[in-house]
Amino acid sequence: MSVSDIIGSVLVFVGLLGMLIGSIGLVRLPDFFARTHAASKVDTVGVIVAVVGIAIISGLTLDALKVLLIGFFLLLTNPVAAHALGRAAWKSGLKPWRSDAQEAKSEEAGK
Amino acid sequence: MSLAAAVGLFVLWVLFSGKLDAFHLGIGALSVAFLYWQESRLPAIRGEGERRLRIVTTVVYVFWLLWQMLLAAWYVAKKILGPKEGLQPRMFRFRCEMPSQVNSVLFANSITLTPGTLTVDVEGDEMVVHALTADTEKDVFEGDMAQRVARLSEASASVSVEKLPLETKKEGRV
Repeated sequence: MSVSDIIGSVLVFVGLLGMLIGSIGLVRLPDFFARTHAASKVDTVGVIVAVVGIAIISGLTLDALKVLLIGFFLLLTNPVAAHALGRAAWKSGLKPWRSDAQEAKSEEAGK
Repeated sequence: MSLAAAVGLFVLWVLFSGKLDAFHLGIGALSVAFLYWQESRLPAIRGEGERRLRIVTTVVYVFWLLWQMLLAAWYVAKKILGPKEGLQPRMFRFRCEMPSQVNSVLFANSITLTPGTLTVDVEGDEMVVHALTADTEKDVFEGDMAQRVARLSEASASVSVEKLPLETKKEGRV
């Protein structure tokens, strides 16, 4: 195994870990907006790290360029998708979830 | 789309397919022609105040943004795995006057790309953003990112991020 193989493998592993955490967040987080964060962003970073890892493994080839381009397009399209989701929820009047501590605070202020 | 852009697309196609026979080149030419036709049907996006981006600054910015994304992803990953008490999601509205529309779009996208903040709505200079925690909200108001985005097109640009009350005439809270 060459050095670039090792670095690449580590990056792919870290990227997959990021995607796993994003998926866990999709289940664990309390409401729609928070889940959009987990689903679209931790994942994006995970995919990009993994893609860079793959590019490093394949070295200076056309394949590496193609794979990096996939990462670049994700970078362009992902925020648009996340924004579309968030905007639809906001326009339809969905209120963000607030923690108990936040609720208590605003009740106090309201009195 | 200019003719130069079409030629560029075709060169990309040849580069990626790597095959030079008539069949593959033919499909490439057809695809480019189709894109050219579709693009001509789109309304022009050039509004007033459009400015060109400074190339070197923009490249530097992309790498800075990637680094910020990594830092923020680490932060959000900890929040996801940590206790629920660590989350204080909030929605807020602010005004930030960018030199041009291109900067506004870049700024909104940058906010969305950084984990922990999500641009929910953009109306002119005003944006509505959802943040997972108080810290991620603070990062937006620090204005570092806003400043960098503004300087993509104007070296001397100076912008401020001004907080506004969330509720306005129509949306949200029905």
